[in-house]
Amino acid sequence: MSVSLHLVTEPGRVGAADILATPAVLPRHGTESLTGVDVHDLAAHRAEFGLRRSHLGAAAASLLAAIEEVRLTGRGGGHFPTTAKWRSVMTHGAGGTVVANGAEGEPGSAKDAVLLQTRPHLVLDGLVSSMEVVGASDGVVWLHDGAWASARAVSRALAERAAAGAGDPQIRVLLAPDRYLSGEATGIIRTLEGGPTLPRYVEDPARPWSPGSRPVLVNNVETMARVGLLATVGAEEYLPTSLLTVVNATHRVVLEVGPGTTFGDVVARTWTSPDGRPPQAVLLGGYGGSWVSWDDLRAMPVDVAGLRAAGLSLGAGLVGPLPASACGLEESARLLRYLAGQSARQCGPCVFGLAAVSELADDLSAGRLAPSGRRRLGRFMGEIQGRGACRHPDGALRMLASALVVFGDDVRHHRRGRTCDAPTYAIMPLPGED
Amino acid sequence: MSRHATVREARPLRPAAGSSALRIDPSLCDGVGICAHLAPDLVSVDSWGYPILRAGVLGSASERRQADAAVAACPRRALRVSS
Amino acid sequence: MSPDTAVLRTVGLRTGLVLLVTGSAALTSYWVGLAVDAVVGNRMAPWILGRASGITSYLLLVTLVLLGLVLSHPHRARWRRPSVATRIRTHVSLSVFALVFTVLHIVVLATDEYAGVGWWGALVPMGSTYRPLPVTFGVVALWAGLAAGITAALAGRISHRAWWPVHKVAIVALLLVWLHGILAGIDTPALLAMYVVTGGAVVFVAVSRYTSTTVRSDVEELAAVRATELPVARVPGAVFLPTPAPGSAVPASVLPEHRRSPA
Repeated sequence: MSVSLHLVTEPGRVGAADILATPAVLPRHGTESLTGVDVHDLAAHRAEFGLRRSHLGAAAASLLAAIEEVRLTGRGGGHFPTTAKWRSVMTHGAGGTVVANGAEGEPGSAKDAVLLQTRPHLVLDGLVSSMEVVGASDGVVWLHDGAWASARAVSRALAERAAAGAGDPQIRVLLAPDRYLSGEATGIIRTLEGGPTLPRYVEDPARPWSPGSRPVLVNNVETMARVGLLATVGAEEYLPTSLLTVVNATHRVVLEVGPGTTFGDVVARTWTSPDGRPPQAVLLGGYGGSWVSWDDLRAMPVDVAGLRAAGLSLGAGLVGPLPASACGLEESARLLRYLAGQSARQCGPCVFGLAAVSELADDLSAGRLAPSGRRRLGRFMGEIQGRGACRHPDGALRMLASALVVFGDDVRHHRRGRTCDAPTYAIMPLPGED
Repeated sequence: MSRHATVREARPLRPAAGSSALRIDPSLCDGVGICAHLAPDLVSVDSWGYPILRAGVLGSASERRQADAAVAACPRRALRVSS
Repeated sequence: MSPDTAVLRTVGLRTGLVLLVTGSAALTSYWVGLAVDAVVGNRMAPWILGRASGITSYLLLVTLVLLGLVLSHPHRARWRRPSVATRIRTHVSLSVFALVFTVLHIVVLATDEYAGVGWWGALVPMGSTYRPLPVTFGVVALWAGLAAGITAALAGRISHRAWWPVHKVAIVALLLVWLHGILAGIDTPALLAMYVVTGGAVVFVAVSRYTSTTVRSDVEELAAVRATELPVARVPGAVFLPTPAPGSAVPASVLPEHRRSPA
């Protein structure tokens, strides 16, 4: 694989606060072999970012203020303000648990694995700092079972810190079942309370733990790395960058971009078109994200707040360009089938509803959706929305709904009983393929 | 930005805090249907027999009675009236 | 649909059911009456009425239980028509008619002095001088059925879902009614055939209902895969990883150091 890569950040904005100096290249599947980024051991980490400042006691307020100053949002996909979660945990007393969530469920996404393997100390700095701020006594790094390279990097980093006398609190590494929904926060909390790793219904999203249990704070590992950055270099030197995973036919690229970079820049430098043409659309955020037409997205900067203002979300940072020679409906039906199969099978609207919608999307993709099927598809999508214990069905529907709009011309074509017979297909990686 | 599809972010399962409301835990529900039978003003069913909350917030005394009946009858303990 | 239209629809549905059930009951009574009359004559009228109401009640109970099994069948979400609301309403309506014809059956036979059953025999197990065992099956079925029906009718008012476990005795009640009919209610080969066919149908649906895989068993399967803790020794070099599951391909480069070079 020969790919030439350039750092996609604005000149002059590359500073000590950048998380990744260069883009990382990974295979299309799995996160075991990674090239392009140097691995920071503890010495390299401290040389690059400096020593983590303690945020115990009165110093906690300064980190909270720094996080609020840079408007840090959850990088697992939700993009809720990070300190809102923290403050909720803090009102419920000390002695809880903080989880650095690295169980990257999205099969296309690899940014969390790259962080854990190359910048484990930044993630652990963030974890320890957040534990100090919220007064937690238990720290957890949450990974997928089978993510061997990440597990090895984290356990080695923990051993290094212990040997260096970093004075960290107790941190455990937990390996979750290898499934799409294992990174769902309520499922993590349920596991810590002794239950299965399956999402659960939470009446008050600000208090997702069981009554009588110790509070639990779950933050994505990229969020943790950014907290770690703020805890070492501070808000003044912090750059509001984003980590993205760009999906190619043969490989994936994980890179860090500044807020001035446009999606056009990102795709031009990290994506190889299989047909020599620009993509027709991009799947943004994750498989439960949104399709955005290339015309709409090209000039937009990679900026959380800017995307939100446009009704979009950076989600988990997935950028999946759809080649001009592929069929968006076929790809969407394929992803929907995968998402329906990844249901935790607890909630009726998800188990039966998503399966039914997936079948109808398959029919549409195959050019055999009758008018009655079209009406059913619309009714089912309306019935399912917002009725799962977690947001899994909502994400799947969001992706399909955006496909029906962005690939509107294809919908009309397929409705007339035709298909695209697209020469390019199976664009996004799914587990168990190849 | 005319071509973005946005699915309405309605959360009928999570009515505003502070008001007395009927809530369903969809992960416990097995779609028995007794709630829709006992609380027809509050609950309807979807295409697969699972409950859809028509009105989460309980206004009248009759709605409150229906909600209490549905909560007491649900064999899966999936319903709750929260205050 | 406005609330008024919904109420009208419900009333209309129930009225239709009343007419349907009453009509079929009248027809059945008429048919059985003719059959028995041809053999023994009119002075057996109460006995004939008892037979007719008993058979009608039995058929209503079979339909009621079949619908109940469909209502709770693990595959119910895949059957869209009739809707769940209609299924439940029909189930409730059928139970009322089954009760009406059962009461008729009991009243007629308890007051028929030639029958040898009497009020005592109709309501108390082993209280009948006429065929005590078959009548007892019917008596026990009556009380079991009443328990299933009354608790369900009070669901929502009695405390804490007592109706659901109690409701399952309905299947026992139907079994007893079936034995009651087989042992004391067969005058013609056609009736025997009816008991065999309807009994077989209930057994078939009940087996399907209780042996089909539910969505819950899928959840249990997923829940059985638990998160594990990675043992982390706090000494450099001593880094442990869990043994990969047999058959899973792990590239040599990701194996922990101590597995590659046991130095």
